[in-house]
Amino acid sequence: MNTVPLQLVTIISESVVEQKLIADIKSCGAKGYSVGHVHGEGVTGKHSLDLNGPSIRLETIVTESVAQAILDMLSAKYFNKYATIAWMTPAQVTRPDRF
Amino acid sequence: MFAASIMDNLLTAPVIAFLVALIATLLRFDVRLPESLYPIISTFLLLAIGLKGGRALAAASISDLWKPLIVSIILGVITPLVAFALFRFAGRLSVINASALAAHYGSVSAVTFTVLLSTLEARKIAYEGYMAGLLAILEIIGIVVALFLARGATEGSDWKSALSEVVRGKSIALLGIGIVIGAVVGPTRLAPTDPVFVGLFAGALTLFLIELGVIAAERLRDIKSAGPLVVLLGVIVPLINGFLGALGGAAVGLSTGGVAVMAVLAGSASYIAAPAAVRIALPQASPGLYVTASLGITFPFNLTVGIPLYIAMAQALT
Repeated sequence: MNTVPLQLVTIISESVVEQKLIADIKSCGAKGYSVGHVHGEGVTGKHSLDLNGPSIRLETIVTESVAQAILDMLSAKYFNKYATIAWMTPAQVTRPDRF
Repeated sequence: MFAASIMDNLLTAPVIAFLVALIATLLRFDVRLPESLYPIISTFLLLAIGLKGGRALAAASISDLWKPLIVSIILGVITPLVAFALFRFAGRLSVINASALAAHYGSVSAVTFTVLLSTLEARKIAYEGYMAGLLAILEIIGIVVALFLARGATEGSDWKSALSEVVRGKSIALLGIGIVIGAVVGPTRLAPTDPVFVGLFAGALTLFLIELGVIAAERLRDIKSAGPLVVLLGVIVPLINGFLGALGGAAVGLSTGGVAVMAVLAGSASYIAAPAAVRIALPQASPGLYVTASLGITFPFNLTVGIPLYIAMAQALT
């Protein structure tokens, strides 16, 4: 099967910012995403704010330039305010027009 | 007499469930309920409280309502100011942290409110049923006033999403639709839903308080970092605000139960709507401080000592 290289961007953040984060990645050009609730531990300690549910893990497959735009947006608006980490991983996908 | 009233208040299933879960967690037993249960039960409780308030609202007239409404708006403005002043000047916290705490102490703990209602019912003390509507109003005003206090100290805060988080957020939205459904349907036609929303209520509240006991115990471990002044103010602020609430309720001629409800509305601290709104609007404020104070100190205090005290205040004032 023919596949095309794209980027999988994964973001772990606080569940309170879910709606804000979704709006922000869309404005960077992401066309779709998946969100799951996760729990864990990081350098800032155990994920806080238990009452609002656990942390979120948001994944989106995007082009290289959109992936860069998302990471830049996170540096400007999230990393210094909310317990957030993010990374990108090369992905091989079929049907590239969907991303 | 007051000691007997404390015992009376303590020996209810929700309060004992909270204390047992708290102690067991401190002793490192794993009592945590399945994570998916928490949103289900909180949804149920908020809807049930709303329905109960709406049902009473259907029977109340405008002339019953306007005075308590004005008092709760005034309390909504005063209680965060009292909390801000004490945390800022007596507690020597930064403007941002004092505002974050003011948002919590200015808004309302729906669970403390609910435990008070079951205590009043168990002790056969009458109260005005429509007061769940006032809870929604106080919650919103308290948070808005507190965020306004932080306005000068923050740049580029996300006011719009914080306000929409409070107003459209789950707790106010569920309470609100419960009130509307209850008010439109009315007491008679609501009767078929009573086995679920009335019959299961005390049991659901008990489950919820087990979960809160676990979370409060986890917060108590952070108490050292919050400092002794914050712990002390976590008891003093609700007492002052509760007293102001009782005075306000008595001034507009509420019943004994109604005055106690007003005291709890003013004296309790939110830990569901307020933390989410504060996290979005004031990300620089320390959650270790505000969640520990409202959930680790004020909530257990109100549940055990506060509620009987507010009832005693109400009895003395009416």
